[in-house]
Amino acid sequence: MKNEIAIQLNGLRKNYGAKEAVKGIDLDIFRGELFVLVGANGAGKTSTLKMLTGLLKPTAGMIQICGLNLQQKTKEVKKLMSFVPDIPYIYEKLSPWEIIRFVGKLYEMDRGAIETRGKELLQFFSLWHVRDVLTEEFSHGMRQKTVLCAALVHNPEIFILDEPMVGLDPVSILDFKVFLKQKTKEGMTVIFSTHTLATAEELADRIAIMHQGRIVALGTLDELRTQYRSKENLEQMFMEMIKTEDTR
Amino acid sequence: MSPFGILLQFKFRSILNSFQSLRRRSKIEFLVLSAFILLAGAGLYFFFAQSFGFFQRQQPFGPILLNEILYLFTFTLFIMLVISSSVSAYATLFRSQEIPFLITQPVLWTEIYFLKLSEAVWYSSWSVLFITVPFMAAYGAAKDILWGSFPLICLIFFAPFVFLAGAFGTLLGTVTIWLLPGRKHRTWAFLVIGILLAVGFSKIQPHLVQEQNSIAGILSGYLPNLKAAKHPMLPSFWLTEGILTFLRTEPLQRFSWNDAWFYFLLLFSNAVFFVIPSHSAARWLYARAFFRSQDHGEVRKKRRALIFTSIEKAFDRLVWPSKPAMAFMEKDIKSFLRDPAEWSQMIIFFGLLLVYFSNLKNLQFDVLKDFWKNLVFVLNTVGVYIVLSSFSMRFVFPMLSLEGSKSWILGMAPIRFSSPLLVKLVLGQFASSVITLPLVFFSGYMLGIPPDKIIYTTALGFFVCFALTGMSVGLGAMFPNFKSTNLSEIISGFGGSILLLLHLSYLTGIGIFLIMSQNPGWLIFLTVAAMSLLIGMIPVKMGTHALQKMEF
Repeated sequence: MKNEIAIQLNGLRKNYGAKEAVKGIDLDIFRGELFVLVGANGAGKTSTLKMLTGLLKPTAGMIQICGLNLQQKTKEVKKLMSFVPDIPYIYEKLSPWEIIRFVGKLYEMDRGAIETRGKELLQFFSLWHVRDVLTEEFSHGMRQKTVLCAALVHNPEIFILDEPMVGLDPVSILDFKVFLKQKTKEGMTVIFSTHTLATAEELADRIAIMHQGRIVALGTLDELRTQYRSKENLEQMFMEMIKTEDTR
Repeated sequence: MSPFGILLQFKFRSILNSFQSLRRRSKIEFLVLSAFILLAGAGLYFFFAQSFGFFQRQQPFGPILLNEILYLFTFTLFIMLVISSSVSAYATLFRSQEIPFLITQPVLWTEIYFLKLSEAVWYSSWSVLFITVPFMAAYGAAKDILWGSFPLICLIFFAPFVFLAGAFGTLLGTVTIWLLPGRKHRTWAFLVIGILLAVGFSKIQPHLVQEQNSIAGILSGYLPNLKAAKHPMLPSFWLTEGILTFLRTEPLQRFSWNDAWFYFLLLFSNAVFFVIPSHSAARWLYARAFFRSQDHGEVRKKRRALIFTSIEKAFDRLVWPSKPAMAFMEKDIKSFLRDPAEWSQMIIFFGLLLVYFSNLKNLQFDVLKDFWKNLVFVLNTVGVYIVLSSFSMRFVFPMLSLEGSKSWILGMAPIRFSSPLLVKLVLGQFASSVITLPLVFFSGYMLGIPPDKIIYTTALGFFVCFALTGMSVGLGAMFPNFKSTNLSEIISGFGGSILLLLHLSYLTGIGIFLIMSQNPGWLIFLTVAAMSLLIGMIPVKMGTHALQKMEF
């Protein structure tokens, strides 16, 4: 399964006016892979993820998702994907149960499927007991969990997350990590960005380190160690790489 | 510099930055906005000037009537400023995301209060400026005093007036939150006050029109009914009386001591005095009210309200035109019903119109001659549309901007972007038609207007609702503000300003059309209806196009 390409990026670029945020990325991500993007603030991670999801239009380059060109087959591609942003904006006047219903209907799921899947997810993320409470009363973490439930309701093939662990409590983080591992085993492709290098180290099948709009290192943790002739952890390798890149 | 000074300095800097970013955005955008402002201002001026010219010609009562209109205008302005400052106090003092940040800074509660009060006055000043400048200019032109000291004196008198209304409104808003921190309690309290006002209004016994063969007879019947606007304790009375006294004084004596300056000092001293209750409120009430509003969460319900379960059941069956479109509609209806801030204001404003229309017979408008009845009918109809326009701008226009912050839903959903826009158009059209058309019909009925004319005007109302809603939906998509979740901030942006001007221009056109065409044929009706459809549809089309190209 991991030889099948799920996402293919060719020469991906993004400019905001004169500023080049992403400076040409070529990347293949495989089906069932848990792929992590790390990098400092402003490295281009969020722009890359947003281009992958179609929320931003690339200045140049091509994105293929499961063999479909994102720019040409947008609607079909969107049915395969889900995105969880770094800030969990949700409809404050709706309850988690209603948000799940709403998103499920947008993906044209039938009522039975929405209810079964919704219940499963709400129970998993410990929101079942507050399923009818308006989200305006929720804490940041509860909102984040609601977003996760809604994003997963249509069982996406590709799951893209921007800083997903922010605001989650330790138990939820642990459960969520297990959940992601399980889902990738079932064939879901997961891509997420994080600043928590320990999480990347623990979860990632492959890691891409971004710096100033470019991928400066790519591979499994072992490959990165070999590449950088290091026995250190990712945090120290990351600092080393950034220093090297900055001095170039 | 004191913390308050620093806060003000940074606010001022951020306003300057906003202006600069507007100038940087696009020269065309800047020019279009400036041109629209000038055009709309000129349109309003034309409308007021024509009306005042007409009244001025009704000798010997014209000048008196013009002064009465000025009292009525300033009275209405004062009420509107107080209400808008109260609403904005709730948004900026209690709901703004900036407040938690400010509380954690070494800043006093009083300083935060006065900062937000300054903001309320600043934003009020803009709306006052926009409507007052053409009004006062037309008034000045009708009295042949447009140039010279008149603009200066208006500025001098209006400045303390706006501050006073803003301070009073902000204080009222703070006290209300302190007394009624729970949203549901506030909604019920407002509804009860609304009903009491309605009952009180219906008990008013107006002066009767004894003689209506001459303007003088009609005026002598109605002018005493306007005495509420001339109560000597009202700041609007001091403002109007001050300006009128100034104008009555010989030009050479105007800037020496005279009664006009007494009224100015009355306004000014009250404005300055209001700093004291504001300071006390800021010191003693604001923090308490803030924490009470934070503590006062809604009761968590285990059982879901029947109405929402019924809505869900109904929408589970509706799949036309598409499931996603119906999902958007279900979500928008639920969100609307759960936000009392939206529907309670609608109930109050449209309720007041309903009460006024119910009293048209009581006010003896129905026994007036046809010309006057038609004029009142047109003014009532335009009044209904103006209220509708303000709600459309307040609630329909920002809907898409508020969706944008949930870009992970809207941007990722496998839907055509026309879906959410059309849903908002249909919902807006339905809600506005259901509310305004019966009101227009009722106003005509109570005035005893011929049935064919009532049907004609009511039917035209459907298309006016469409045009207003279409403009709000379309411009909401063309000029979204995805960065903010603050309604006031979204509305006061570039798109909101353009929309205000478009609405006013369109309604001015409709008002002039209704006044000029006393017996229009159906061909003219169809032409105006078709134009209104186009005026509503073109922005929606442009909005859909803009949305397809949009980045979230």
